[in-house]
Amino acid sequence: MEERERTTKKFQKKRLSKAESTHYARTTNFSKSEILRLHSKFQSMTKGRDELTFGDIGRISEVKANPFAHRIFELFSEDGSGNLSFDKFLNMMDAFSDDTPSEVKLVWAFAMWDFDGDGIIGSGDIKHGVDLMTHSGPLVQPSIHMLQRVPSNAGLDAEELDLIVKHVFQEVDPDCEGLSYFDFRRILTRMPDFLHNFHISI
Amino acid sequence: MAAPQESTALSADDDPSLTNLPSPQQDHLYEVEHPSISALQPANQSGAAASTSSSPPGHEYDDATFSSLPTSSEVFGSHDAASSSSLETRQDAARPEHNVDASCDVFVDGAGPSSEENEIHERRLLSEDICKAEEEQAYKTNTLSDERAKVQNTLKEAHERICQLVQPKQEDAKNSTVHFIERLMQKIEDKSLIRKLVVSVVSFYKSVQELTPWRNSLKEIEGKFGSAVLLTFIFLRFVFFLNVILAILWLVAIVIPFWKDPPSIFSWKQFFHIGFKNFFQGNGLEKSWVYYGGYFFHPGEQSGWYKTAYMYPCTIIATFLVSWIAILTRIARRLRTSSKLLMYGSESNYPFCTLVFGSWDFAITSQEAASRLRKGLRMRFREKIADIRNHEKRLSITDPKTKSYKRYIALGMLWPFQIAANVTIVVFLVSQADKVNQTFKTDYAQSLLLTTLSMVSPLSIPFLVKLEDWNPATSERVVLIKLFTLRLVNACTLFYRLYMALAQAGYVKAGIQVLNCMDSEECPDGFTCCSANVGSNWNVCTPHKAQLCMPGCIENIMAKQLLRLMLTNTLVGVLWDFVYGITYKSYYKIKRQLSLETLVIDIVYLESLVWVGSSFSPIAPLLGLFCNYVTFSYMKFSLRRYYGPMKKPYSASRTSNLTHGLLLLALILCSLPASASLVQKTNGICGPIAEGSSMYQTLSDYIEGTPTLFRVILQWLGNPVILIGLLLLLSFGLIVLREKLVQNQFLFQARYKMFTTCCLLTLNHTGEHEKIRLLSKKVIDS
Repeated sequence: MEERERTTKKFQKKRLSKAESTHYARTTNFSKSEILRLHSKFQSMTKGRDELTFGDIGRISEVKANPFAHRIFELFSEDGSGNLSFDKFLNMMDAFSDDTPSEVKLVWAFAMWDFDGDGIIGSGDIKHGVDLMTHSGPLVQPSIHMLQRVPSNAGLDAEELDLIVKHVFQEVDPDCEGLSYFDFRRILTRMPDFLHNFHISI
Repeated sequence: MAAPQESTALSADDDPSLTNLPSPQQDHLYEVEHPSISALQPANQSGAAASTSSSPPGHEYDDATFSSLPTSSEVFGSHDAASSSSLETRQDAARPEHNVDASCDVFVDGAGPSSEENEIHERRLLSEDICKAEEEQAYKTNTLSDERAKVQNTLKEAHERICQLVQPKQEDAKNSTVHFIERLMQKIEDKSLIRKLVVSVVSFYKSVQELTPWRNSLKEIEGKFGSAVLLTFIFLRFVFFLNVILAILWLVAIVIPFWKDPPSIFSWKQFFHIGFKNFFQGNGLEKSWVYYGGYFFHPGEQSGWYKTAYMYPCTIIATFLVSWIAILTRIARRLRTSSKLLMYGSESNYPFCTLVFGSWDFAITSQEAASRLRKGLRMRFREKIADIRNHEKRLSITDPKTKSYKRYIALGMLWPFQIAANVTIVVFLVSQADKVNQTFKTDYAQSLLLTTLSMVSPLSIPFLVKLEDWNPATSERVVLIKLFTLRLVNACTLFYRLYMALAQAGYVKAGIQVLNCMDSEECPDGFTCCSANVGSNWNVCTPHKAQLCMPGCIENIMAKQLLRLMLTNTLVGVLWDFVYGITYKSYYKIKRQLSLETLVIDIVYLESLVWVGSSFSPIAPLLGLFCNYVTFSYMKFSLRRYYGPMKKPYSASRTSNLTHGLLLLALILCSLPASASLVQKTNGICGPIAEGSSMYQTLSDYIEGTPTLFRVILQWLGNPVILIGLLLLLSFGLIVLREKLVQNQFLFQARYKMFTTCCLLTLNHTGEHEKIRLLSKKVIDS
């Protein structure tokens, strides 16, 4: 903890120029002071570099606590590389902020859950997501590694995951083809908890 | 051959999901296909590579796996090492070992079979998994070869959907006033003086707008305890702000005019003569602005348009109106943020979906809380699965009768007994306040006892509920209901007793009831023994034995009791929590759990005391403010030290419903005693209202004297027929609004169903994505 504080002090913090912050304030839901705060936060996360990378996930405790961090980085890097520059970082915080319309959040949640990128949330996606949520193992799990897992005490075993997938499909989609966006939207609109939970503030 | 295998072994250790790959060939394939994996962990790889290069070639695999183990734990910072929960850490510690075993198995596989049967079994299980995985993997690799392409694909779809939903951001989308000012500012940019002025005004306005106190502490709380606790604290902050508004209202409307033009019986010297102890106990200030009784103006003493006699009831009404509006706007805002989303039928209809998609709390930023949440989720998943299994079993076997008699005893006898005991104690404490205080030699004895009662009596609830033997899910609800009922009964009894005393004083004053005080028996609380009937001036009466009982200023006594209760409730609660937290931590060596329900009920209880108390003492909201502040600062302090992250996952939306619902309920219940005090005829001994008249009467008399138009409007508004009509209209509007919301939702669903069936019939899934997308756009637009 102390060590991290010491290392953060080493680099010189840059301030956003006025034009930049105005620009960001126009394009996102954040106000200028919020943006300045986020910028300094971003800089302390990257330790002065321009981009956040996958490698930072294990280092920053705020991000590390989020099992979906890797997936979120991947999504908001826009090219799948997982490198977040400040404007992408802002986009990410914007999507998770309180002011964002719930429908937009739904879209992002769907994109997040669609790990294999085939346009529907299939059994593999659900298994992987649930595994991420319940597993206390390493958090850096690129989305391609889904479907391969080691059973252990710390996670749900394969049988339980199968049951969960079965019940989810039973509730929503009896054909077992996977959840399309509209299925997903239909369920999540009945779920007030989702909105409360789907927000990050760093 | 050796080099790629090495690196895969490394990445296998980084990521447990890779460890059970069956053959080196597939590993190799993986490596080639997804260069990004190894690129992700450069530090890890280089560290491990150094170690392998030093080791002899014969032991490559084992060395690689074992030497990279510490590196992986270094890089990923021993994932849950911070967690204090020993079980969790043990599981985590066990996990990497298991990985090593598995990977060793895989690599040793070619050399020969292992000795233990368990391992063989395990491996068989693994290989079954792997076969399934292979099939899907093959499918995936065929369809979408590049991982980044998949992500971009997903992103593209997401962006399209967002574009359909929202118009591209416009400047005035967020806050029209601020942006208007900004645009204005740009227009007059050339004039520097004006510009500077405008800039300062705008920045001031913005800073006020963003002035959300305790933001940092709230963020810290959110990161550690999750959304549900955060919502509770935001609720506390809301109550705090409400009290600020109420305090300002009372100060401006009642107290400051009093300071400006005090009545003849008041002098500032009172405050200096009473001494510290009396001041703290609230004694000796009966004739000041602190209590209702002090607003005693002789007829003609107040000249001009301002008269406390009608401002006082107005302020009471305003207090309730302001609170009502504040709570309703709060609820409305909450509903609006969820815009088109419907707020019903989640848990019951889609229990698994709710758990899967809605249960991770993204707000959590602390490792410890995250691992707690994981554990909680695991438990909930297992519970749900077990529930369904049990439910299937229960369909065949039903035998609930054996346990039910215990429940009937507990519910039918013990619970009513507890409530009765509570009521008796409260009635005794309130009616015999003087005696109790004299016995314990302090004026705080009665309120301390009341507070202790409200703290001790809920302790038996868990036992009772255990005796009643509910399901785990129901028992939580039962505990909550019982907690609330108990507190409600306490509060209701207290208020009822106070108003009874008020009514009795009125009867005595009017001569309907005569109470004698002899040497043996004393007067009831709120009465003084006077030598004779000395007229309406209550401060003239000299205490004397063996004469008539004369009512004192009963409102002041009520105010004192309520204020003291507020203060003791907060301070004793804080103290109790502090002591309990310390002992719990030192005894069990773990941090205790925060009970949100108790906290919420405490906040609501305090606020209801403020609402009722403000009719009798204008400084009640101020004291409430102070109490809220104390509670918040204490909770902030103790959350860091004595409370661990939540074990039981609370539903955020339910917490929000609970907090606001309870507050609304409390407000409605508190408006009953307040309206009773509005129409109650006063005895005229103290306070601004004349003898034999009520606050309501004074107010309507005033309205009679106002100019015609104003009077007509007010009379119209006060007409019950019109009020009922308005009420009906309002409820009608609400119902229509609700129906419309539901209708929209169904329309959308119906349209969507039609659309999908059409698509499925006409279009092929694979070939014509573009057409489907276009069609969906059209449907949504229509």
